[in-house]
Amino acid sequence: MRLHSANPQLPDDDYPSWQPPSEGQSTGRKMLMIGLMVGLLSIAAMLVWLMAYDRETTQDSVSRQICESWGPAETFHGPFVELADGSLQLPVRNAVDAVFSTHMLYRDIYQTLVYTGDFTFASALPDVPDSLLAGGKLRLTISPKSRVQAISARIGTTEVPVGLSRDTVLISLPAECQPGDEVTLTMAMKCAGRISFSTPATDSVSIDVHGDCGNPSFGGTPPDDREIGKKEYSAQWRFGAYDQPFSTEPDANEFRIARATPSVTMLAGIDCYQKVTRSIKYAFLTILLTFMCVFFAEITVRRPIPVLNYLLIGFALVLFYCLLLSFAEFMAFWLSYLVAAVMTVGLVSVYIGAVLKDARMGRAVALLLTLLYLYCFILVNVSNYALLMGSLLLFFALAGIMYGTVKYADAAKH
Amino acid sequence: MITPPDNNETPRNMRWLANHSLIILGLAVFFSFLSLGVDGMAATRKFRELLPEADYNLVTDATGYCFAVFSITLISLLFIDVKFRAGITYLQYGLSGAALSVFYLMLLAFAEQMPFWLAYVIVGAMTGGLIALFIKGITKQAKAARLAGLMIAVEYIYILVLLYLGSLALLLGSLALFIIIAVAMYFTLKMKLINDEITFS
Repeated sequence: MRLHSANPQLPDDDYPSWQPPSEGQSTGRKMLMIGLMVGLLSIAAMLVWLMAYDRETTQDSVSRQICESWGPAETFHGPFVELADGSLQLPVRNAVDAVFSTHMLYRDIYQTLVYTGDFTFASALPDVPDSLLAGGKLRLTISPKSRVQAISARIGTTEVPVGLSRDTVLISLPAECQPGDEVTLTMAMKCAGRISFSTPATDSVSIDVHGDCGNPSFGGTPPDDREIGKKEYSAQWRFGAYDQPFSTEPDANEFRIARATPSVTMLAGIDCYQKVTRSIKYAFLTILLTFMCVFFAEITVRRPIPVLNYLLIGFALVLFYCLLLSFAEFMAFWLSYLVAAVMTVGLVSVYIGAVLKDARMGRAVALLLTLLYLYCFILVNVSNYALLMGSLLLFFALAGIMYGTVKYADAAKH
Repeated sequence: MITPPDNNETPRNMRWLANHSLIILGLAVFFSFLSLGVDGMAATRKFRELLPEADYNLVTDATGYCFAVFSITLISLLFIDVKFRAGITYLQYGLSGAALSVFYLMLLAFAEQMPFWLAYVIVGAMTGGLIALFIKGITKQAKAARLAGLMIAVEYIYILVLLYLGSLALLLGSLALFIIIAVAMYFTLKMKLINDEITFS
């Protein structure tokens, strides 16, 4: 198969015509240099990864600082019934209802979601002799330094006094309370981060959570039922006497907080750094395939390209990830990927077209790069099939390189 | 007496260009790792209360740009070599890279004693002056030294502005790098091969 040169009037400019490997720069040596360059450029891409990691850490620490000034992460432990003789008992039933209204706080380019929560704890008193109940207390432990804005309690319809120390809410049980009476505690608090409910009871526990944000994250035991809309969600946990994820046996008159305690965290939004980091994993492949394509283009057009030009193309490809990172911090990921890809593909293809003096090759490289970037974008977003698609990509790349070497052999022969 | 090498005899063909490009890339990667070491050192000194926190953040951000600074400076050295037919040896590229790397170490050292911007200006002037004098010694032409000094001054001033911009820094830095790569590509297009390479004909 004869190879047609794209530019029939070759020696008309200052580039040397194609030299067989015995003179000038041998092809194998050039390939070796290009391979070395690909390796070094991948290391440079790792530097971009390092930058992304740094910024993610900074974002986490700034978020924490913002949250600290608003309110802490809460763990509700209780309510427990402390009898007149000092021993702790579980209430018969616990029903928790939490309604969160979220606010976004900004500092620089960082944002964090903080909430104001309205909590209602309804507990039914256990079946113990009246003498132990009267003079006892209902005790609920909350995180220290909590920002409680309003607190009140009642039994039935009568108001009961509530005491709030640094991390404990104490409700003194009046003399006339009976086993089975329901004590309702209502609180409004400023909080942020993870809210955990450790509320064991003898017979049943129910936890209801509502919020006005679109992406809650549930920890510990997953909720039995959840509805997540665009701007609001609700979730329920229902436990009976024997399937509670809490420790229901006291240990030295204390109840431990179990690890599987249900919790809810409301997140500020999509974390861009994860996706950028995942994209950088394909840097090596992108640079390698682009250089291979340019190398075969230069063989096809019979116009050797100085290695410095490869270096600059490699820099542009590494810069794609830098642009992606910088755009993704304040744009949606897909938009920043699109803009960065258009810039990079445009620059590289125009440059190759100009260097080879053949716009066809420039368009070919543009096509290849677009396909590569599209492929990597899909891989980043659909991680289930990542391994499958990645190995398919490698397979087709290998086939393409084999085809290219066959064409090169033909070109060298003629 | 040692006769200096005749710089006009080095054929600046494609192979020469390839070797130099690879060496530049290798040096840039190597010295970037050294600068990352300086970054780690800064963290230790912040921990030991020798460096205030705000200055530490600025130093860390400054070392983030190290790879770009090394690549741009070394490639402009390459262009100066071609344009003034200077014959800069690999060792001299390495020493320039080392000087750029020592910039970060000195920046850390000076920043502990004085305000950050003052430390940056002093150390930047020292490094730029050193490299400019070095180029003057190699090429024996003041014009080359002025070009190199101007290049480095522009780089460092731009980075200082970026450092104080804070959050928009990454975006503006990436866009500037994009433009620089486009300009460098344009210059390589102007390189013509007549037995050896002569630029900007």
